[in-house]
Amino acid sequence: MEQIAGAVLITIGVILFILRPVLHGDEAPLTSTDGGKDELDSQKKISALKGLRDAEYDYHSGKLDEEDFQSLRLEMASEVLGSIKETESGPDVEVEIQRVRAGLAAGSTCLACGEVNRNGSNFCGQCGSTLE
Amino acid sequence: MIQLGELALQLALPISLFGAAFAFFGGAKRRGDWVLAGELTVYAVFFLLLLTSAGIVVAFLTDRFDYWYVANYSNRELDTYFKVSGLWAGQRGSLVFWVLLLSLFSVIATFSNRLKNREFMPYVVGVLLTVTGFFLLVLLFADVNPFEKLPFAPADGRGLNPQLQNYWMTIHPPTLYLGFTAFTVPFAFAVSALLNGRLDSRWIVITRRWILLSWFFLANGIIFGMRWAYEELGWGGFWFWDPVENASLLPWLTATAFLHSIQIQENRGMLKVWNMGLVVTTFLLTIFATFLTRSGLIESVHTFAENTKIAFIFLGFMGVVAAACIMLIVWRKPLLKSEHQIESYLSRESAFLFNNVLFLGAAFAVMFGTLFPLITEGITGQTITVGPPYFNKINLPLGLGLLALMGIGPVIGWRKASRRNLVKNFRMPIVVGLLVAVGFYLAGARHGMALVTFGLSAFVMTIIIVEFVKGTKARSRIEGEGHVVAFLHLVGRNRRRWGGYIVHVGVVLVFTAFAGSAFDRELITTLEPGDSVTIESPLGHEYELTYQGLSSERGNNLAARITALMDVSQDGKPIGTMTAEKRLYLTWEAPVTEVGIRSKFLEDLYLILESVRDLNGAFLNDAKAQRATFEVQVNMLVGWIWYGGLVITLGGLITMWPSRGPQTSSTQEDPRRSSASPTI
Amino acid sequence: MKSNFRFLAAIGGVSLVVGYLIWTGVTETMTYYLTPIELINRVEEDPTFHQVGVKVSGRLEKGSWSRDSDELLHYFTVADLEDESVRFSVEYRDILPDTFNDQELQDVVLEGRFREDGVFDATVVLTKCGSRYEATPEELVGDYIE
Repeated sequence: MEQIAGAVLITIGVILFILRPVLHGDEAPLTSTDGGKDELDSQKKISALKGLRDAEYDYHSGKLDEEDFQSLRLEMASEVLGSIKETESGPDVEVEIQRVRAGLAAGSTCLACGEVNRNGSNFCGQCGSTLE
Repeated sequence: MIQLGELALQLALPISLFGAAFAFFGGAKRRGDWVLAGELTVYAVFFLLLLTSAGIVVAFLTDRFDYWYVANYSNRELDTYFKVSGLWAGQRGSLVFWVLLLSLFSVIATFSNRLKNREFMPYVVGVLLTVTGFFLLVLLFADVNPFEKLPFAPADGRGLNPQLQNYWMTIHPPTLYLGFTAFTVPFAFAVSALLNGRLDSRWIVITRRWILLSWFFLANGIIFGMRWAYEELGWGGFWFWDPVENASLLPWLTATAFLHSIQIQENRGMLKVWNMGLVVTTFLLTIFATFLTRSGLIESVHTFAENTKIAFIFLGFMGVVAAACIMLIVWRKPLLKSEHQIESYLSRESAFLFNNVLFLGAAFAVMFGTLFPLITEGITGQTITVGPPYFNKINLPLGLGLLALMGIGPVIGWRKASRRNLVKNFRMPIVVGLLVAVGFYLAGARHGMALVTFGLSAFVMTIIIVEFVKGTKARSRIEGEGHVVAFLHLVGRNRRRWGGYIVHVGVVLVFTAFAGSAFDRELITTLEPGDSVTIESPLGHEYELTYQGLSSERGNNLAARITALMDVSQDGKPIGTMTAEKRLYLTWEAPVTEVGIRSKFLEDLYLILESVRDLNGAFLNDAKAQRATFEVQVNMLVGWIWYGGLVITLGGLITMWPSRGPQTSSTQEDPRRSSASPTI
Repeated sequence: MKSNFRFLAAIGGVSLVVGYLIWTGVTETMTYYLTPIELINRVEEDPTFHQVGVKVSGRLEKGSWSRDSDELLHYFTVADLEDESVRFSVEYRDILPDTFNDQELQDVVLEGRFREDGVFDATVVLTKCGSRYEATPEELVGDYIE
């Protein structure tokens, strides 16, 4: 007898547990709070930044020759900076690249959004992430 | 409790199917409340399956032999440890165990993504619950109900096969099951991606750790099985190309290929269709593995009894899943177009692609050979089989190819590698490999394939060690860290890569062990007490075993244990003793052989008590009934399989270890660097 | 584009090699799996079949096992499952599986050669062990009623 009671209780309990959201109107979120597509883009930026740094090391340790290095830098820097088209080249881009690179070396370039902050900063002024 | 467990099992089926429906409905109609209901179902089903499992374990612990399953896999005298593991000892319980693990992983996947990846989750939950529902369907409708009762309660159960009463045998199936069921999660995300159209690398990035986890358990599970076979089956072998062994190998082969090909998609946006096909195939192979074991369709020492109902249900399920996935992939083909092309065949993409071809080739060959008897019988009416010679003939060259690739991969860059660089980087390792091979040849080893394996192993090891050294030195110099710190930071910053290299080291050890078995020695001899037998090891020394005699005794579960004692000396110096046994269990008709093993780093001395001339006399410890036949083996490098397994485990753990900071989408190296320098 | 083609060719080449390995693997190592009746018929039709390695499944005849004096050679008789009058002797020089038992109803699988003298020279003996077989409820009850 108690077994039947227990069985009924569990069955009802489970059904109520599952259907509560529908009965009460709770919802599971259908879109992510982390932004999805934007996250992908910023992560591409991060890996490009790291790739830029690695290219530096490769070039200086003799694994990469000059030509390849320059074209890689341009490509990756353009991705980091987002708006600059790949076809543009010249002193403006060079200056930007130097700035970003110096920022990387000093640990003041934000890896989340690419902003070059003041030396010694602990947090990014643009997006608030911790600086490395 | 037991009846509660039975009820829980019956309740779990409709609940999980409804939950799947809620999740799919909620996902399609953008109804968050129904999606939440689906997610709650995942937790509810896990709760129910916990009750089910508890019910079964309690039945074992309380010796409820009125339950068919308990009566067949337990008896009063059985160790408590084996009564608990009775849950997965037989067909029925192991199905419950499978679905329990699947449910556990579903809970983890659902809970950890309750605020993330929401575009995927409704369909992920739907797929997970559907697969869960399928297994519950099997449990309840294919004559495999673990709660089936006998008309009355036997006084005692039949007991567990003594060969299964072994440590490795209790952890081998669960480890494999963890691997099989964990793979359902990446599969669910892949299907979800097909349904919601997010067909970039996102689904791969999310499930990366799941794929690694599944691979990790599969690899370990297979190695545990080899350990069990070596220690318990008493023939000195560890792999027999038995159909069920092959069935567990197949998903591992495709999962390994998949682990590599997803990196191409992550880095270069290529092979999207290929990866979809591979994830579906691997999932289907996990189902196929359990199908083969349970249906009895192919003869094997491993199979449970034949069950055609199960065979048809599983075949139907695999067919439906395959058809549905193919349709989904065809429908989404436009979104699965590659973003780039392969630029050069001297590139890491190319190496990974060859890796895939070799793994898939091996998988196809193994599957073909395993199913060959069925195929030939179906077509010609005449059953034709292929055995170990076929499998070895094919997998040896493929294995060597993969071994070589393990050495080439780390050195070759993404996109395009410069020929000059490659030559420079390969020069030393090739020389080392050649030296090693020649060295072995000069030392007397004449087995061609083994020599090539040794040489290639040395080649790969050199390359990996050099990679670690170069990376550590570079980082140490640039960041100003000491070598040890530099090394730890190096590995910590790019766990997937360096952990992967460590895994490769482990695999190299295992391959070397396989090559070592080409030099095994064995002999069979009949001895009286006082007689000696000598066996020479390929390493040059000689073992002498002097037979001392037999002793017989009883144990709790044992009718008799007959132990043969040998004094062992090496090159004349005594080094100890060895025993080998024949055991007769009260509950088991056939005697069980327990071998004696002396393991050293490079070789195992292996002793089998084959038979005793006068068994009855031996039971009575009759001094005149001591004549016995033995097989003595020297198994070369077999320990390296277990050591390799440990290294693989270490490397695997490193690759999976969570790192602080934002989860980066690609690997931490950007693929546009033309050589693979260490990522700092 | 051109390198893509070269690439596909290379993959195709490797696949062909794999296919070739499978082909030769099968044709060189395939083994017929026969019943004793089929085997005997086969060698009658084609005497060269005595040289071919085959796999045979049959029933171990009760009480037919014996052992040579040097103890490394075993003799027993295997009969067809359908027609027990069709049988032959088997010689086997190696370790028998523990489950091998001529006192009980047992099916065996042999690999080896059927010699011209009518004796099967076995290299592998496998038993379909009773211990792997799951008892039906009726059998289990029957065991305990006895």
